[in-house]
Amino acid sequence: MKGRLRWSRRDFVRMAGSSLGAMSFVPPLLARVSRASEKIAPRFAYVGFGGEGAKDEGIAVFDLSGADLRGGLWRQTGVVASAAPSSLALDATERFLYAVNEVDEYEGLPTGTVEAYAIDSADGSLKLINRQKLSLSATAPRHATVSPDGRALVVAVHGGGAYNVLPLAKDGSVGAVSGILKETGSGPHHEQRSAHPQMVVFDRAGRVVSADLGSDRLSVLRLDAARLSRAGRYAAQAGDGPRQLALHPDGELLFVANELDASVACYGYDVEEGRIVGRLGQTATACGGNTGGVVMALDPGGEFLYTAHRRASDGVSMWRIARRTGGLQRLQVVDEGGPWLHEMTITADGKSLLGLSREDGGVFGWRLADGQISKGEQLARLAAPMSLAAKSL
Amino acid sequence: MSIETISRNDPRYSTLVKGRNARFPASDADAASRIELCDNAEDLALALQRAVSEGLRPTVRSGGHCYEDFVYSNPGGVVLDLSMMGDTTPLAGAPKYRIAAGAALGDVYTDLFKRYNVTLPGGTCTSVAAGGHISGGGYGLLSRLHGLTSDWLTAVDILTVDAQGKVVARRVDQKHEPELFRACRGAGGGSFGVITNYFFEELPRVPQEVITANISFSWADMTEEKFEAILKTYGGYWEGRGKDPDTWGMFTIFGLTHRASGHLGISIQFCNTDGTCRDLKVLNEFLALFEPCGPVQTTPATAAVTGGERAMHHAAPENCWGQQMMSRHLWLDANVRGGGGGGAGGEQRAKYKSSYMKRNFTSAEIACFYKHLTRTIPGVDLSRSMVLVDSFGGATNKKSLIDTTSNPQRESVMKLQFLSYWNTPEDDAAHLQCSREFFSELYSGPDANPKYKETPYWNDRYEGCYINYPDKDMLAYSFWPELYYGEAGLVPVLKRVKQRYDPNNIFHHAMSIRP
Repeated sequence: MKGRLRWSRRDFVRMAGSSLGAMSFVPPLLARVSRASEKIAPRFAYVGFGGEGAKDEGIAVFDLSGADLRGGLWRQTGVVASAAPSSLALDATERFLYAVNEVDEYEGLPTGTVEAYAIDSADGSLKLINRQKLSLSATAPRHATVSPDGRALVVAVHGGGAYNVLPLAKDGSVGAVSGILKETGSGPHHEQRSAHPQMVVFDRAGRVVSADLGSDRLSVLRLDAARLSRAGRYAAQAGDGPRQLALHPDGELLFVANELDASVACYGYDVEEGRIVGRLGQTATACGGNTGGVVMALDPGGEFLYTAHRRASDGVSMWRIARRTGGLQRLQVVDEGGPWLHEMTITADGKSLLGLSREDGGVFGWRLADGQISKGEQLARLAAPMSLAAKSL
Repeated sequence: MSIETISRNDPRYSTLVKGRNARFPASDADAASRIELCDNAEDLALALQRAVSEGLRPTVRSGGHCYEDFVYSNPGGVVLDLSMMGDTTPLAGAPKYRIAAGAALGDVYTDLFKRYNVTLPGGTCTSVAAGGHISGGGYGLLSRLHGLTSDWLTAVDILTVDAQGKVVARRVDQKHEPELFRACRGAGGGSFGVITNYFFEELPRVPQEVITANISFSWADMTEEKFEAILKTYGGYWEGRGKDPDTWGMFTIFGLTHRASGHLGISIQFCNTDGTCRDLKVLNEFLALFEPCGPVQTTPATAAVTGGERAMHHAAPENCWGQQMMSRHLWLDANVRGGGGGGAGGEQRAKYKSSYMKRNFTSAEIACFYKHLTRTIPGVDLSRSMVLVDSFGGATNKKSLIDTTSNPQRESVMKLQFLSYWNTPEDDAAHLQCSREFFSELYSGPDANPKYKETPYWNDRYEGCYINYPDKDMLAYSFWPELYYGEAGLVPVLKRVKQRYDPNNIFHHAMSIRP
């Protein structure tokens, strides 16, 4: 296809920064929470597609058994209808998949929705358990994550500037909204006229850390009895537009991808107190000028960070993380001139980086091994992909 | 008193967390976590700031009469209660007349009469408060003579919340923040901020006296032909003779009650345009029109509406002894009923709809009325289901006010309110369905625009619906904002006001202006 061909013509690998030989493995500072799926190669991949300008919407199911990232397309085995699935989240058991529908209206009401799907463990297929509306004014939700105990889904709501909590039942179904936290705030950029929460992640103590693009704010939220309250706030630099978060596995660093100024900031995080303790550094990610729209993925081992851009063919940058300072050093850039990437994730086994390109209509993959990143390959063709989750268990 | 906070563990909570319509909140989970009873605008600003800073959603009530769940479907949120903010004394440096948003209309009429011998052309239900009534374009028995309440408005005090979440107190009028002021003149409550005071530089003089009259018809000997003759006579008058300014002092409400209620009738309030009752020619002429229709003998009464907020509170006594004789009530509901503001009096369950009519009824419309008002459903008591057909027009139809108010309906001669009342949650589904079917069928006939089927969308016969009689069923139609606010450019103005004055959409409900 067009996108792939264009990319193939241009792709090359560029080495940057210090030599790979200078890198050494640094043992984790703190014990890490291990995930059951760690070290297991993904078996199925779910790709949400649709959203603005898309003709079709849904969640595509791919069977990865036998898939080799070095060649060939993933095998699509199914698709379910789903409106603008902006985010997909698996529970810890990987028996259920939760989709966030980035819509402005549901049954005439100004609200987005979330969906619960049961996953068939044999063939990976999805079956809708139920759909639940969010709170009034919770339009265009962007991201959701399942609480570590599997009993709640926390949703970051872009449009209405809020967070919602919905209880999850044992059968995987999602209950009516049990907690609403409404945000206010704005920033200097025209996209910052009001609060726009983008992403929520859990820290090891079960608190929620969130990024708010509209108000240039990072928050720590307490989840208690299926309700959310504010535990702490931290102001990012005005105009940063924080969009994406990743807590370093050591627990003391919080990486934030800033949508508006195309940078990655690193903050100190006090996991005992649940406090963001200060900005340690901020690194511009684009190779050229600021095109905004940085996306990042953190290596589960905590050694590397990967960045790309949603509106620039800057390729994928691989950064080495200084574990004590959070400093970033660019090691390698691959696929410059390649696709714009809308979202990236690293599989739980840490061996693959996966990226979605809305413009090129596909899923792309990079192998991560021996402290290097391979050239990318197209793994699936799919118009307007917007979210991705990989099931290993 | 400072702010009185009523939380879940307060014995007053269950009474105050609801309003007049017992359908809301639909469940405990939908209920607000607290009610903030405020005495003045400063209290209110504090209570609002507290809610916003805690990340809780504020909803606002004054009289507690909202027809939909806009206030009470507020899971874990805060109800700001203005029902004790009823002051009508003037404020220094402000326009002459002041009505605080929590003032009940009955008190407003009395106060304005005693102090100034003026009045507000407002509604017939005296426990409705100014807050929601005026901001939605409230009207009443003097509206044909003097226009809508919102037409007279000179300024409002309003609390808004800025982008950073800070409460801002504003006084707005036609010179200061005119678009926000316009939005406060008829677009309805709960979209932009909390209005704390209404100001009027001028208000109409109180009529010296009025004549009230009733015309009643029995359902017992009603035929479809007779029903049609009565409705055509009524609608014909308002489409024709009723447009003459000498008739503007007459206001009528035709209660088209269900056959199960036994009768249907017209309530009339009349005065001459100079506020006297010296010349009864107009009234007599109107009454005479109905003589051939065989009205039943009635005694003079006030123009109190059959049904509506005054519908029977208690069911007929049970013909047996013991527990069946008893019914359980929250104390305030049992003792104050409709009399107090805020949460009191909410034991009835209800559903409402509305339409504006520019012309007389057609035969097809009348046939639909007849069908649904004589419909029976086993086990469902429809005796408190009705359509109130208010006379309209006269001074309400000043076209010059289209651009400065948010009430674009300026050509109608009748305004319809569809009401159903019942007592138990078990009957919700049947009544809601009946109401929906009636309305949908009525506006799917030959007179409706097929593109906007099932609604009285704007055409040569209709002018949409009234936002103070909100109906969530209309959300099923993507054009619902235009249905309420017209197609002449008001919707974009209201959106602009929303974005500017409530950028974080703090004030929202199912039918609020969306950003």
